[in-house]
Amino acid sequence: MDDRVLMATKQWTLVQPVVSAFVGAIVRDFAARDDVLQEIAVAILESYDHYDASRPFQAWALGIARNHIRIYLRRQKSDRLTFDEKVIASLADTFDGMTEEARALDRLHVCVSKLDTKALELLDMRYSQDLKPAAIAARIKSTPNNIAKALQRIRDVLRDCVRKQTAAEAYE
Amino acid sequence: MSTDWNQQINRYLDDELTTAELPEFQEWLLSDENHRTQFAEVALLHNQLHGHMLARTAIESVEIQYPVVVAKSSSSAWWVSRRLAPFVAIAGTLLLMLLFWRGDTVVIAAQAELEKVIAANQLTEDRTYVLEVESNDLGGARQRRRPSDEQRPPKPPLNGARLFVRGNHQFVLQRVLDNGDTFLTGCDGVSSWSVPHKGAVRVSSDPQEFNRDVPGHEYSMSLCQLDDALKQLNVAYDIFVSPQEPGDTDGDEAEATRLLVATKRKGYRGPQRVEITYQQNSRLIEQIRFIDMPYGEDRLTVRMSLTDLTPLSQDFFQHTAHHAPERKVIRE
Repeated sequence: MDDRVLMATKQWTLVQPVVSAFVGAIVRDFAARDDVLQEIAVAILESYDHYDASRPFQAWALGIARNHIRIYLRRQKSDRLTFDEKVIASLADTFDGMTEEARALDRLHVCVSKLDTKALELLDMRYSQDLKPAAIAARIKSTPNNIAKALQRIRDVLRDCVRKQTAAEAYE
Repeated sequence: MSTDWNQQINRYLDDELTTAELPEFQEWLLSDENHRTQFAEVALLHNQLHGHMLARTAIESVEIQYPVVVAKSSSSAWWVSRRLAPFVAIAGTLLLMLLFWRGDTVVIAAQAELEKVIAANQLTEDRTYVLEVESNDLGGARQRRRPSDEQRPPKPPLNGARLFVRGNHQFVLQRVLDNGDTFLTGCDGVSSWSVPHKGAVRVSSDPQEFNRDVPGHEYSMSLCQLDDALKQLNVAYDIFVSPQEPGDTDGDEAEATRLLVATKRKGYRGPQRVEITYQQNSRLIEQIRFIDMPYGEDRLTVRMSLTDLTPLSQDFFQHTAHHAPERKVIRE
């Protein structure tokens, strides 16, 4: 086994949730996000020889992610909501400090299991079926605004639940 | 009216924000690190929810198509469709692979790979493992502080034990005591039991009863319920898998193996690290090492090596197969 690949894989596995969320925050289409993530993973493996092990791996990976987001945005001009480079750079720094928050989301399955059926159906349409609020509204005869607010409430509930779970485990 | 920025973050992620609103939203993000942190928190959740809901939907769709019935109280009612189970597992795995493994990629989708390993091992009927205790940090400080008459009796030794497994719920663990006597514990999927060398056989309607002195039981990683233990890795561990080796070219008949290493995340209980060596093509597990595994007040490093795949007799996992008919049986 190649030690270099093994080490790169291990480090990538650890930082992947943060890098994935960073990419998803800019590239909001889930399928496109996955494509960009794959390119980032390949780039990390290919350029691992240039990685300075004395520096944090996550910051290095986020730098590679920024480059690949830039390439994607240049190719994909149809995205009407695209952040400026300055915002993207600032967000990369912010996401670099979100490791603990990403880890806390390991408890998400506990919190999702507490949701009622209606909330789960909304999440299913939004995330499993990749429908936007307008499409969900058309399907269940509601308004896009109501659906967007309902999704926001569910996310607020989940964030609160994850925080409480984390605090309770820390207390134990 | 002041802007509800939490709402704007959610609208942005749902693609509801208008292009006219974008400049103000960007200014808000740039103006304060706390704003960006607030945004990143919601984005992290949004990202994680996507993966979580996809997995949930995939699993539910498989369960609906092939319901698996498990009842604890009656031997006739307890059945897992053993013919269907491997196909269910593979269908679920393929579904997850389709969802997470998009196209040709060198990215090692470690969690999906673990699901494949689990599915492949559900295909094998009966497996026999030998357990070796590589290191044993005996008795914790608390145990050593206790007066000798208050110390718990030693557990039957694990080193050299043989573990026979069928599916995820049936096992026989054969341990040899220091005096050479054999001590058996097992579960036939409905009831669990212990058969000492001498004395009464004990049978419990609780399938977990005689699993309790097996390492890992208290944190859902019992050595005797390997499938459950492996699934726990996807919940509580960071996983990485060694890359696939190129095809065999030197005529060596031994199949290439891969190594999956799981490192425990902070906040969870269990062994610090689990190393799984499995065959590259068949994904049959050859060896599992549970490193620094809590066991009562001890910490063990245990290696489980697959030694045999020979089918065992149909009644092998029932206590009656392991003692004379006249032995006294105490039902608990």
